[in-house]
Amino acid sequence: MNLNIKKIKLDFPILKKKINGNKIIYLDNATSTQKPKIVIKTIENLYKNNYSSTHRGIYTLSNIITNKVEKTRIKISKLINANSPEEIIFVKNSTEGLNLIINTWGKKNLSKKDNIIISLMEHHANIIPWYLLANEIKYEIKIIKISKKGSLDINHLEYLINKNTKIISLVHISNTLGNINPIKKIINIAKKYNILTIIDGSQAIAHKKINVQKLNCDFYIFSGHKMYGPTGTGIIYNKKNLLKKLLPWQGGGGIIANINIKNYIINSIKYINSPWKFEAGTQNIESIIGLNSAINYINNIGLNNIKKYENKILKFTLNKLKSIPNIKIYGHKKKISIIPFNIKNYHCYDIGTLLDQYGISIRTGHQCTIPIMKFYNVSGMCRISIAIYNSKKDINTLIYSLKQISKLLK
Amino acid sequence: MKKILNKKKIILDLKSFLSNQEKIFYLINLGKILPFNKKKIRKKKNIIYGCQSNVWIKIKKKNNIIKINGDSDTSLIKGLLITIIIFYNKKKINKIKKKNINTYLNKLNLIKYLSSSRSIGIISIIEFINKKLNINKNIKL
Repeated sequence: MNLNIKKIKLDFPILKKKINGNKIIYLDNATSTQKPKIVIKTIENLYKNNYSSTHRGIYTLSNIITNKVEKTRIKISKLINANSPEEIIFVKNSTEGLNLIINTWGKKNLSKKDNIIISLMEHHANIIPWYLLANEIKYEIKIIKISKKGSLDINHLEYLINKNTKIISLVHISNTLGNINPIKKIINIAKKYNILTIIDGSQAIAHKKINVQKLNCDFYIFSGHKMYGPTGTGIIYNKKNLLKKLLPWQGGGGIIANINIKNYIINSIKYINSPWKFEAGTQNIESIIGLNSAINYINNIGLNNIKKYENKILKFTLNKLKSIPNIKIYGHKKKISIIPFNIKNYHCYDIGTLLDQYGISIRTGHQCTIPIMKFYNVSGMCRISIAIYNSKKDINTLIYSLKQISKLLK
Repeated sequence: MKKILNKKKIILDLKSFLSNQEKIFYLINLGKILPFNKKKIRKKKNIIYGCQSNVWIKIKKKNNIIKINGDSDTSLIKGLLITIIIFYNKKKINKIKKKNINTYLNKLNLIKYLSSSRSIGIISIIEFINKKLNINKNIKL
């Protein structure tokens, strides 16, 4: 199927905007994608016609909105082929998802003698929460080595595993390098040793069909705003309701079945079932329902079509970038959507600032992965990340601008 | 520093450009004259914390006259450093204390085309210099 990218571009009103006199070329999709009209319209309609809070009232509006939120839960469970919608927990983003798992399952099940395994290419969100909890519980955090091309060293992973390894928590696709990690292979290794697996799928979900049952991971986390959905939605998939028996991470309204107070002292609290007991307080209703529309948008184009098209643009971009003198591209060739690079010794902030003058938005800096920057001995990188609305014309403008910038920075 | 460069010229040059792009290109080219001595400047003791990019500033006082050298790993910041260094360089501390840097910054109008993190960085640089020179002034971009 040949996609009409000109037509797809029209679905995203922001792409008509001009920045510094130039039509916007948005290439920072790994940070957050732009939103199609269908998502914007859904949110507008919601506030105009159907707004109230969820799980609170017996009145019509509350029932409508609760149904819409729960239908989104069903849609997400189907999108990733979960066994049941109850395996899906709504949080505000992937970072909160990881923090929730670490501070519930991790806190309950880890002890001083244990260790957990992450990799050197993790986003800070999959490092810092582990480190914070380790300060409390004193378990060991082991880190898998990566090769110069950014491949995970599977032999090193097997070397790190011992009888006290409880969790392997890894990124599916590196947000910095774009490398696709051999997650299935790693999960199989983990299962052999009865180790729990947490997969950060933030960069995979909008570019690749995810089948959690086939992967056989225990947790899979992603954010809605990286898949054309609104900000403020994160998803936790927890296999067979792994978190079910645990206490909530955050207390609040909407998670309580009963509170017993005797003589002004709290005697006991009974919580409602998972996933709802992990969703304390008023939910991010409009974002969850907006995410439903974003999934419809993706499904209408077809995730496989998106993947094929983005790969075509990725290859085109990699090929064109070769014409930039002194460019260094990081990571191996098996990438999805993401290309990190530096040019000569020019600072990535200069390149980012100057590209902005041409209306081009890219990510610059350490990309929340300081360990990778130190591994490659750089203070930062430029990162192009592609989405369905990026065209060859966009890439040609990027290449032209990079050539002009290189001349200026000489 | 090139003799033709002075505060008035920089203000006039920046004013003459219609687009932000031209202003940024100008600042990048301006920064190419820094540092005056790379080896002596990039030392830990000269680093300014609070800036998005690495910035080094070295201040010398001789016969009550200030001499500043600066460097950054970012070309744009080097250009901005020049605009600041010019305010202080080769002047007596007493004279600097009488001058209001905020009036100068206002004329440069940097805030119009700098990101907020860059603006915070510029303030950090000026505060660093002022602290070294015992100048107590609030900085506004």
